[in-house]
Amino acid sequence: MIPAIALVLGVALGLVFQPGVPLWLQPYLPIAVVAALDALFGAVRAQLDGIFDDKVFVISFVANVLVAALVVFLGDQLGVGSQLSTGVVVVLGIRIFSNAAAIRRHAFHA
Amino acid sequence: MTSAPGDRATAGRNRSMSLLDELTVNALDPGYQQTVDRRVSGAGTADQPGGRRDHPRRYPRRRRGLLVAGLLVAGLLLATAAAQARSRAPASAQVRSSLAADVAARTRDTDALQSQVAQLRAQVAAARARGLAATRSGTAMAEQVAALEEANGGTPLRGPGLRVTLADATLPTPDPLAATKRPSALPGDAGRIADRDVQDVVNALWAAGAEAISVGGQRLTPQTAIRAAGQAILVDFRPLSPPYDVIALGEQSQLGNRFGDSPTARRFRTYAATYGIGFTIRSERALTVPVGAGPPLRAARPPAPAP
Amino acid sequence: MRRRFDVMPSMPEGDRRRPDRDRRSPEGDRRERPSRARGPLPRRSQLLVGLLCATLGFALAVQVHTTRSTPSLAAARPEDLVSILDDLTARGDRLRAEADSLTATRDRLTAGGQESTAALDEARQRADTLGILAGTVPATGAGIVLTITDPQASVRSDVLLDTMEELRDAGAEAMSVSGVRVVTSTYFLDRDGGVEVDGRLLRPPYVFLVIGDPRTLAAALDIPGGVLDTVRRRPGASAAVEQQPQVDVTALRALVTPRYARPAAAESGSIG
Repeated sequence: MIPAIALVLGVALGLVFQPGVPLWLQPYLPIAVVAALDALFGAVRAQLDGIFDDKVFVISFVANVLVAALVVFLGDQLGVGSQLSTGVVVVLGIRIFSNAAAIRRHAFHA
Repeated sequence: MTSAPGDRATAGRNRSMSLLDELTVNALDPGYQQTVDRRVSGAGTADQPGGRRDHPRRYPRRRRGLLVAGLLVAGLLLATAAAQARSRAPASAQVRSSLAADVAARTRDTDALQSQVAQLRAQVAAARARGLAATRSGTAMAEQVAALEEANGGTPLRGPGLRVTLADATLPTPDPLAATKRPSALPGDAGRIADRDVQDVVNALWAAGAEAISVGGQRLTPQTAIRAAGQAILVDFRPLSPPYDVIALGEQSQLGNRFGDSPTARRFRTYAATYGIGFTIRSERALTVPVGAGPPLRAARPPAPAP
Repeated sequence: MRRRFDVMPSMPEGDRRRPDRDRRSPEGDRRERPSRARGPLPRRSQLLVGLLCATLGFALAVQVHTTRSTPSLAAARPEDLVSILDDLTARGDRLRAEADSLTATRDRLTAGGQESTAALDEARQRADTLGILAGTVPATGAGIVLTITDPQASVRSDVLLDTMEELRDAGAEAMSVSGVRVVTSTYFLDRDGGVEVDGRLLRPPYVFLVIGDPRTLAAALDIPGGVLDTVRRRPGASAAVEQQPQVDVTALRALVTPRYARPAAAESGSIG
């Protein structure tokens, strides 16, 4: 319950304040958001599987975000930034999808 | 595949698995399962879940030396590749990206300045009203100024009206990688919204009886122009991002009918059908337009009173 | 590692069985987890999870907003970017000038205390400025006279509209077209033998009286592919620009009060 409320609260805060994204953060934020979404879906599924663990979630969330940002950064440095971002988004997208599928099976038994 | 046999050894990591399978199967962070497994196996002996028991191995000194050397080489490789990529990137691309960054930064700076100006305007209006409230002639003056401010886009307004949205045509992009390099791969500029298009729509909306208009969040005043620099559309010198939202306040049905029947709207409907540009008209009951720009006058002054 | 097989999309069975197996987990586990979920006070780690979720939501909203509001300059050429930068500099200058004059006015008004003469003077000045912009008072000053002669009526409303925008862009402060004062809501429509401007049918020649910096205004009209070029390319049409130290814009316009739009609270509405 807390996480759901917190999520809504965060969205609301972002909508109300609409802060500008600092320039150095701009390339990383979108991919970090996708990575964090992946961690979130994983957590929901783990919860439904009955194996959720706060610590694992926190670590996987932070690590996901950091690694995603790092990958984009490295890609930019190596001149393959856009391709690598595409790759990261594809991989995370597939993971989100299959986790969502698992959640769906849990919720609707179908 | 049959249900998992309880034996963990057989279910160990299967290296030959294809990449996609690996992705879907390992979708859940293995960390969750590991903690459970660890807790299950550790429950009998120690009550501490997630204990450090799993990591007794420390690298022997020799191996550690190898590791350090390997990492060093990897780092060197990375740095060289980075330097290479940087020098290989055409100078124009570097200039472009730094210019684009400048534009983004300055857009934000001026936006901040703009909201500061809006605040100042409200403060001045309040101070003026307070200073003039004492006398009847003062109050009349304050009302006159307020009405004039309103006519020049100096106050935010709220009311019913139309929201007209213009968007560039979207073409199917066959290759996502190619698309990231050249997002503007349109045949000619037929599907692109130009400054003339926005001017046209605004013109037609005024003709239809609009009382106040904002384009892309920028209020139109006597001193704001709609122009283009290359393919970017600027309103009051601020580059806008598509889709372009044109908000016009006024009586809903009159505005809707007159604008909908105007040659401009008809032309844009044809464009939408032919080139696939986005063109939508929405009638809404409550819309707002912000304060617009009103820099002080430099050249114009009222004529000297007649002698 | 068993999990991996339980969650294969083809096998919902194993998936559904899984929680049962977990519920049968050893005592150590069972003692700990329910207390975690039902305790009256959330644990620190739960708060951390909440915090992360809030961060994610925040970042999500911010990112969506940024994507929407950042101008898409991916396709812009360097030359265009430079000119956009110039425009943004101009915008900054205009805004700063406005902010400075507003600050001065506010300080003057608040320093005067309850003295209403200062306020009255200020209000009069302000009314003059606003009247010039709104077209309710005549205006005078340096500027240009642009005459578009068009015996064959080949100059249509789009050219006049473009001219007005170009002049505004170049800093025009007061303007009239053949006796019609140009204001915010001025529009141009094609009509037989002429152009309708704000409800009045105008026939060529069209005479723009414009107050502003004469050189800037003239230069803006004269750029390649600009207004003068466009007019000259229309059959039979021609255009002439005269820079003058004094231009009188005497055409007036009655103030129209909005009937449907109402003042809204300023978005950053701290007043006082």
